[in-house]
Order: sequence, then structure tokens, then C-alpha cells
Amino acid sequence: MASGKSPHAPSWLWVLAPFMASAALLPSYPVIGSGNGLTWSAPWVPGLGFQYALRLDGLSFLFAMLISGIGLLIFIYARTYMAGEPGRVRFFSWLTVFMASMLGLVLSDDVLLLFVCWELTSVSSYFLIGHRHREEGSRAAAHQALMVTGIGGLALLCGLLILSSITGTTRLSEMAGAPGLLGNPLTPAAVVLILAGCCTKSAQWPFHFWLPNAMAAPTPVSAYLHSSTMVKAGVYLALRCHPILSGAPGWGCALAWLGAATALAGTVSALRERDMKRQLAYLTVGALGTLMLLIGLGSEKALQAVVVYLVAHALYKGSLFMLVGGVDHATGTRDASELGGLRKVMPITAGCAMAAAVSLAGAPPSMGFIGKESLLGVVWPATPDRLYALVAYLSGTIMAALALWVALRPFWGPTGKASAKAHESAWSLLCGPVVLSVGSILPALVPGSVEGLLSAAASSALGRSTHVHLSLWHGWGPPLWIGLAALATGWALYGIARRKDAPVLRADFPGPGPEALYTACMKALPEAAARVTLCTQADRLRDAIRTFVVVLTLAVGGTLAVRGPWPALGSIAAHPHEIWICVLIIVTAIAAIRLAERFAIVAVLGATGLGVTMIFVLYGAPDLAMTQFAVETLTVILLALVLHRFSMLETGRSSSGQRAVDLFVASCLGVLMWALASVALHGRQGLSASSQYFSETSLVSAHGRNIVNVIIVDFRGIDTMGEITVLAVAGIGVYALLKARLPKDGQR
Amino acid sequence: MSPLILRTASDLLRPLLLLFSIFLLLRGHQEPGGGFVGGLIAACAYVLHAIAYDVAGARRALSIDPKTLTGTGLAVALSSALLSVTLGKDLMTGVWGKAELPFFGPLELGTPMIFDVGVYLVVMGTVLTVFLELRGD
Repeated sequence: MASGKSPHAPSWLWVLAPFMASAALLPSYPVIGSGNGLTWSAPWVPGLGFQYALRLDGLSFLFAMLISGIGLLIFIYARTYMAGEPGRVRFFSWLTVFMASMLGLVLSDDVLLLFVCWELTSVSSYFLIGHRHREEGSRAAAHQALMVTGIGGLALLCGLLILSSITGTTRLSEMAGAPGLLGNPLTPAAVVLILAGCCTKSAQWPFHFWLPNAMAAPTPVSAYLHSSTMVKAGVYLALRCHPILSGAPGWGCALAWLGAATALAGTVSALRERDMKRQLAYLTVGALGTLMLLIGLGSEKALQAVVVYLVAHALYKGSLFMLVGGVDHATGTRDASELGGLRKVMPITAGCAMAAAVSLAGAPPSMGFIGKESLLGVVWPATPDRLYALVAYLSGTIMAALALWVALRPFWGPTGKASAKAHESAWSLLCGPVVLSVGSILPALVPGSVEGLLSAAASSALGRSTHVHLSLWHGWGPPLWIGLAALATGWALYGIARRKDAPVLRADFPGPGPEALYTACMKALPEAAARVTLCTQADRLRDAIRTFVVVLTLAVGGTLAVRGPWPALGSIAAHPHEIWICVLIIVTAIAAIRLAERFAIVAVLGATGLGVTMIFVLYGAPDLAMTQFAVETLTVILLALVLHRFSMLETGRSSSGQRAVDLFVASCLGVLMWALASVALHGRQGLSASSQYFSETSLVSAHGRNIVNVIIVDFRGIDTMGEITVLAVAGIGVYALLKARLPKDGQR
Repeated sequence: MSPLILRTASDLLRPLLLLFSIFLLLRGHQEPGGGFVGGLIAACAYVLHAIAYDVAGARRALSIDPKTLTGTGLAVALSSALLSVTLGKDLMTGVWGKAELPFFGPLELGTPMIFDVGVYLVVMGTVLTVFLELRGD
């Protein structure tokens, strides 16, 4: 691509897209903040009730601001990060497509529009993960992410359609509180399907494995799609559906359990990794699990905690990814144990990493701390939820340990072997992390700055007005003790990791997971498909034709036998010349079976065809006769050419048993054709309804007397369009096969 | 061996076959005929030429790549289908116009006939693509 060779292309233009998106969104904040929503719609498929319906309320606004705001920082970052790479135009195009579809996802109010945007984010994610498409690992990761999120997307489509058929509307905003939704027997199916969509997209256990693998993408993509925005689409949808489905059986319970399992599986898996990007990715899985857990609990306080935790996570995780990318750029490694002492050469990077890590660890004073305190404040007081408090404690411990690992290990201690030639990142690589790191700390100190935004979002998710109160001090109590305990054990865990200077857990802990199952399925699928194909579409043309004839005979003959009418043995007044033609057809057909040389067989088959043509002539179908005549002529010529070119002049005789089977199958088809002809000749009197229609309207509305041709080019024109397209494609296919074939007259 | 009779016949028959194919194409809407059979017969004209002379000669006589004919045919058929959309009607609605020709009298022309021209070109192009490639050189 030319873009790779022109580093001076006006890449600032790309930055305009997120900038304008943010600028367009901001002025609507006063409306949103006052608890109202903006809607806009235009007809799409009016017959089915689908609309381009957009709706901007508190929840959409929060997500849209994260998407366009972090997008702006990411685009600035990526301009420098991707400077030396080929295919930058492709990269930025897909990044822009992603941003647009993600904005569409959070703004759409119509279920089908939401689904289309949902799929577009999966597709753009596929191309962005696979950006370095010459690397095997990138391609495999892109494919895996697309398969997992794509299958979930299909489930989501079914779920949303069920939901809209139950509620009688395609607008999400009108579904909440629809009568009969909760009692409907189909609602559980919709719940399961929508959950499948949310859980695949937001990397919930057991579908979480695609997210760490997606780290094969360039770092801006990891920071943007796979930590801040796209993976939150599932969380967004769960929040969006919460007012609709929170009363449905299984919704809250399933979300809470899946979320808790994900929070544990994600954070524990992070302890196996060496690569800082993969560590952060697993922590993202853990954080997404925590968010789902909170949505599952579903109380007012829980939803308040969701928005706080969500914003905190988007800020610190985006920052940390960009910082790791900067370190990777400067030193060539993302393994923290090979680094050390970088704070002397990369002071700003080190400072930002510390600030973001404070938030990741959930230590005061940061948004992460408030988020964790809110989480513990939700799960601790209610006795049945205390098990979740244990989950929160364990995941908090691991997050704290890895926050220390990521923020301290590369920057402190003696200079590591890969740190020697390091240098501070350019300002464009730093402005994103600086803004996001400051954003992780500052709102915790000035709570009033974001409370309105968060309250509006929580109100939309809850379905009624609520106020999010941010405070660093929640008073003495178990949530604070648990939070501090998690920090303390996290510090201890970091100590263990520091002493080993390697991942705490073995790489294969705890044995094969869901990914192994996925890989096995992906391997078994093509094999099973190949076996089925081999059964139905045999290698040899002779076997394929036999399958075809048997299916045709059974299907048509069976229908005829069940539905009638039975063929009648009426007599047909035949002229002598008609009888002669029939004799010609029969004799040539028998000759075709008896002859041994293929050229001769082709020739007598041509004669059979001409006999049939004569019958068309006699029975008043000149169109058919002409076409049949031309087709027969060309078929004989083409068949002869094929036989000659591929040296297939000799026939191999089949075994006598095989011939008996073939004779039986062919006879059955012959009898069926006789029965059909007999039914057609004797069974029906006068014109059929469709013939009547065509003969009446052909001249009047289609300006043609030749009904056959008018049907072909006008009444059934779309069919013909499809047919000539198939014909053209088949022709090109034959051409390609002939071109690809080895020597001109050679054997295979 | 030079098949003199075949070559002479081919030279005489080719223009006749082509003329006949166009005749069939144009009358198809009113009388037996149409784009499909017209395309087949037009292809026959060049098949005959390729058998009487050689493939290179047939390609020269055709003077256009048969694959191009196929593509052009598809484009013609599609554009005839789209014409009604530009006029605000449903896809493939027939659009008809009348013209008074000096010698032939009134002539009705419509998008289905243009569609038939597309069919003609696709059939001719596809048959010739396969035939000329199979026959080799």
C-alpha cells in the first residue's frame, strides 16, 4: 500500500474524526445531565417496523464520551506508534470504522440497528487484530476473536428478535415494562441468547480466551478496543437490557455467577503471564467479570458502583496499555523482568504508570479506590452475597500485585538488560497516558466534576433517577478493611513475584481450559464437514449423478405417490411420423448404453436429444425446440472437446453388480418421468391459474405476445438475472479450472 | 489437410448465423425467439469458425474477449433492471417507449428487451469462453 511509503501523509486528518465526534456530543450534556434523552429516527424497513432510531441518554452519553474521548487520545497515540508500519491507511480506516460502529452501537435504539453495529465492531476488530497479517499468530487471534464474538452476535440477534416479538416493538426504550414480558415462556430463551451475546463480546468465562490472544494487535488497538471500549459493549448491553429483563428469571443470578467466575478466572490467569500486555488483558477480563457481577446483583447501589468501576477501568487500563506500548517501542520488550531502572530515562512514563497503577490496585486516592469501595459496599452488607466479597478480595489482591509489577518492576531497581538503549517516548505517545492517568486520580479528589455524568448513566441503567455520590471516605467498616487487606496481600504477592522474577503460576496452570475445547471443536468441524461432503458429493461424477437421481426420484416420486394424482394409462392418438420419432429416440438411447467408445456415445446421445426436439416441434413449442436444438448441438461439440482434451476416449466397464444398480436407478427415473408426463397430459384440463394469468396480462402489461419470453425477461426477470449470473460464474469457473490445469494434454 | 468445404461454408454461414441470432433476439418478445437462443446461435457462428479454421482465427474474428462479452451482458442486464429504480418505480418494472421509424413503422422499445440483450451477451460470452478455452490453440 502506498501509505507505508509516505510517512508525511496528512495523518492529522484521521484525528479529526474522534475530535468532531466529541465536539458534536458535548453540547448535548446539559440535556442529558437533566435526566432527559434525545431521540432521532428515520424509516429503514417500514414494513417490518425497523427504523434508524437513535437515542442519547445518560448511559449512551457516558459510553459515547468514553469512545470518542479515549478515541481522540488513541488516534493521536497511534499516529506516532504506527509511523513506521506498512498499511497505515488501512489501519486508520478500520479504526475509524470501529469508532463509528461503536458509537452507533451505544446510540442505537432499534434492535436491528444495534445488531448491525455490534457485528461491525466485531468485523473491524477482526481486521485490526489481524493488522500484521503476515504473522501467523495475528491471523489466528483475529480469526478466533471473530468466531467467538460472531457466534455470540448471532445468538444476540435471535435474543433481540424474540424480545421484540414478545414486546411488539423494536425500540429498546419502549421495551421496559412491556406487559406479558416476564410471564412469557419465550423470555428465558431470550435471556440466555442475549447473555450469550454479552458474554462473548465482553470476554466472560468460558469465552474469555479470545481477549488475551487479541493482544497480537498493535498496542493502540489493545488500548482502545480491547480494554476501553469494544469489550465493554457486552457490559453496555447488559446495562441497557437491565430495566427490561431484570425481573426475568435467571437474568441476575446468571450474570452474577458468570461475572464472579470471570473475575476469578481472569485475575488468576494473569499470574501465569510474562508479557505485560497479556497480564493487563487478563486483568481486563477480571474487571469485566466484576462489572457483570455487579449488574447481576442489580440493586441501585450496585448499578452506581458499575458506572464508577467502569469509568475507572477505562481510564487506568487505557493509560497502562499505552504506557506498555511506549516501553515496548523504546526497549523492544514487554517482559517486565527484562527491564528495570527505566525511571531515570523515562520519568514521565514512570510517573503516569504509577498514577494509573494506584487506580488499578484500588489504592487511595483514585477512581479505582472509589470503584472498589463501592463494589465491596454492595457485596458485603447483604449476607447471601458475602461469597462475592471473597471473589472481590481475591481479584483485588491479584490486581494490586500486578499493578505493582507493571508500575514498579520496569522502572525501579538496577538497570535491566533491555533498558540500556531506552529513551523517553515522544510527547504524542505520552499525551494519552498523561490525560488518562490524571483522569484516574483527579475526579476522586474533585468528585463534583463527574458526579452528574455518572448519575445520568446510572439512572438510565436503573430505569429511574438516582444520584451517584463519589467519596474517598466511606467510613470505618468491613469494606475498608477488606480493601486494605487486599492491598496488603497484593504487596506480599508482589514480593513473591519479585523474588522469583517470573510469573507466580506455571504457564499451564490449571490445565487445559475452555480454549482447548474451542480448538478441538475448530479442528473437528472441518473434518466432520469433509466427511459429510464426501457422503453426499462423491469424488466420481458417476456416483454424484447417482446420488442426484436417487434423491430426485424419491422426492418427486414420493410426493406424487402421497399427494396424487395417479398417472392414467390413457391412449394418445399418434401419427405415424410421431411413432417413428419415438422409435428413433428409443433406439439411440439403447445404443448409448451398449456402445463402448465415448465419441460414439456422445453422438447417439445427441441424436436422442434431436428426437426430443422434434417432439417439441410437433407439439407446438417452437421456442423450446429452437433452444433445445442449439443446446444439443453445442453440447455434443463441447463434450467431444472435453473427451479429446482430457484423453478420456476409453471407457472403463463397471462391474456387473454396479451396472445392475445403475439400471435399476435409471429405470426408476424413467418410470417417474413417464408418470409425470402422463399426469401432465391427462390429469389437468385447460390452463392452470398461472398460465391463465400470464396469457391474459402478457400483451396488456408487458407489451409482448410471446408468453414464454415475456415470462423469462419480465415476469420472472429477477430469476433470469440470477440464472445468467450463475451461468457467467460457472463459465468463469470452468475457465479458471482449465487455466489452472497442468499441461495442455497431460494426465493429472 | 485443409477442410475447404467447411471453411467456405463457415465463411458464408457466419454472417448469416449472426444475422439470424439478432433477428431471433429482436423478435423474441412477440414471436418465438429470445436472447437465450439468440446467444446460443451467435456462439455457434464462432464455434463453426473455430472448427473450420482455428481458435486464434475465431478469436480474431470475434475481436473481443468472450469474458468481456459476459461481463458486459451482466452489466447491461443489471442496468436495465435499475432504470426503473431511477424513475422511482420498483426494481425491474418494465419501462416502455414508442418510436416511429421511417421505413419499419411503429417500434416499441422497453427495458425487458434491453435485459434480453444482456441475456444474449452473457450466453454467447459464456459458451465461447468455455469453448475457446477447451479447444485450446
